[in-house]
Amino acid sequence: MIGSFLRSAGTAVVSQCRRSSLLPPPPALLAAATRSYAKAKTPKTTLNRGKIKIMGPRKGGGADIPGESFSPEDASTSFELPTDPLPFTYDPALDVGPGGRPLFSVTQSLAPLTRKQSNTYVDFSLEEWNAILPEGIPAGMTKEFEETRRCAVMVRQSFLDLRDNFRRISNPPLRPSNKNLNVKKQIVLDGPVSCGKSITLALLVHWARSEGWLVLYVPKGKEWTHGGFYYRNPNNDFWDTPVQAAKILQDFLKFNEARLQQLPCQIFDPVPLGEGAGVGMMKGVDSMEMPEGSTLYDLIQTGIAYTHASVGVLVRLRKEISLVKDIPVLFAVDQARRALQLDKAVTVRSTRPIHAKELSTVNAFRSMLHDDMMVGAFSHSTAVGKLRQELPDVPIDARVMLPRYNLDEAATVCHYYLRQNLIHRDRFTEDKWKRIYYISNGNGSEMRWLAPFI
Amino acid sequence: MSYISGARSVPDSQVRIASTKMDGIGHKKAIQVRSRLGISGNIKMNELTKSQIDQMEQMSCQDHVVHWELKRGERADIERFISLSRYRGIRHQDGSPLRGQRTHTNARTCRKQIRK
Repeated sequence: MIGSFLRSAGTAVVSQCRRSSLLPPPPALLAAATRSYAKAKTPKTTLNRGKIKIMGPRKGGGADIPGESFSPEDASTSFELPTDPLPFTYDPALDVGPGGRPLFSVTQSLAPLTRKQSNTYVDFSLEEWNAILPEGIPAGMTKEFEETRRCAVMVRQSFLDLRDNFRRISNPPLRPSNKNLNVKKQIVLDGPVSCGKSITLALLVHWARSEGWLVLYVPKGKEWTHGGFYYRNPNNDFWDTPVQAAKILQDFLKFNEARLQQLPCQIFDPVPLGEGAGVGMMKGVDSMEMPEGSTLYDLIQTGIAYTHASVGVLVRLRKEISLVKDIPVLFAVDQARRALQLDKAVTVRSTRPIHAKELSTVNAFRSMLHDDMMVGAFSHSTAVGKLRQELPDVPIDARVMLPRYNLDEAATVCHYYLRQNLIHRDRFTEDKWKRIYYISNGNGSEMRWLAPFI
Repeated sequence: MSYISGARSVPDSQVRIASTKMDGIGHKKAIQVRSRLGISGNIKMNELTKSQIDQMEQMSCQDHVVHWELKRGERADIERFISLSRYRGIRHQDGSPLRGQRTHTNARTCRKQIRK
């Protein structure tokens, strides 16, 4: 009996060893590939008379698949959006940037990236992007993903500087240096059209959330001032937008639910009630008390459940988040300083436009004269004209001008587009991509539009 | 499908467009009514509650001449011209154009009643 037990244990050990010896070592090519493409199987392909023959496990390997012959130009159409498993036409050997440098950085998050990895692409799957940014991905990033058919974003030096700025705030070094003196807690990202403001902000949020920060991310500040219903608040001179307030609370809850359940409320004043969306004022009640021991999660759920309390809860949430000291907190608002499209009725027959600062929700998050970390990105696509030189309620040195692509970044971008078959490989030369760069003046979206014309 | 002051409103249409279907409410009055109720431009009819639709109807009727009141007023003006035997009244009776158009040719639209 003992012998059978030992025999069975031995066979189990042997089978485990056999299994481990049967596992092939990771090929060098795969190790150099990006993380999400590590499972790529790259069958040999031979080009013959304009047709690509797939030599797979079929018999006679070189036979054409009937009804599926296509030219090299059509090969790009088979490259779908990055999914798992990958398309069979993917070849990791083509992941080469300018000067033979690797085009992609293999990393699980944006935290360990250094200066050496600037001007390289970071590849995450669409599911990962949606998981880390459930509020929504910026429109520019979505368009880049769709047109390049890959969910990769270039890591620029400007993003690394921004990340390091907030990293020094949350983890100040022991020795003071000149860099520590120039840290900024409040930043307004400005810059020319299509210079990467929204993408930089999204990457910053990605990094902050991977570090465990509590981040309130607003990918579309335009939605705070557009749509829904607006009612005059009886207690002050502001206008309430209950529909938008409820949506903001829901978006905030998407990623931060677990963390918010651990953070207790620190303000115990009753939450003022306003007019609900389409249901009028609540009769006989003008405020709502939160029970003792409530968490921020309970507060937000109250605001979502009761439309009369959504605006009051959002304004209260802003104050509560400021009092959170256990974990770093970041407010990230894209399309900030957005113009408004609501009208207030002055008389029966006349109206006047309502300024954004007259909205309760916008007013609560508008000011940057506080001690919290906040980043706002200006958007040319949703605003009229340039950002004013002097911004109200914004520190003087908060403005950061993001530059457009420089020559090195443009080289990386063009090589990436070459990799993604936006540019024909036989027509790609240094002179041509430089020509595109100078024509577009470093404008990212224009370069992407001009790339196929090389 | 619902009716507001006798105008049929499609649920998928925006409030600012659906409210112009009411007789007597045009683009400008629709904006005025909407702004007084606190409804932004891209809200659709199916997103409104019943109380909001009632409020919109009430506000339109109170502050503007709409629907049957408008039609009654127009008819009363025409009958006044007829009773006074004014040129315009006679032209209304005859079914002829009354704003100085030619009748030697054309005037088909006005003379629909005669053709029938």
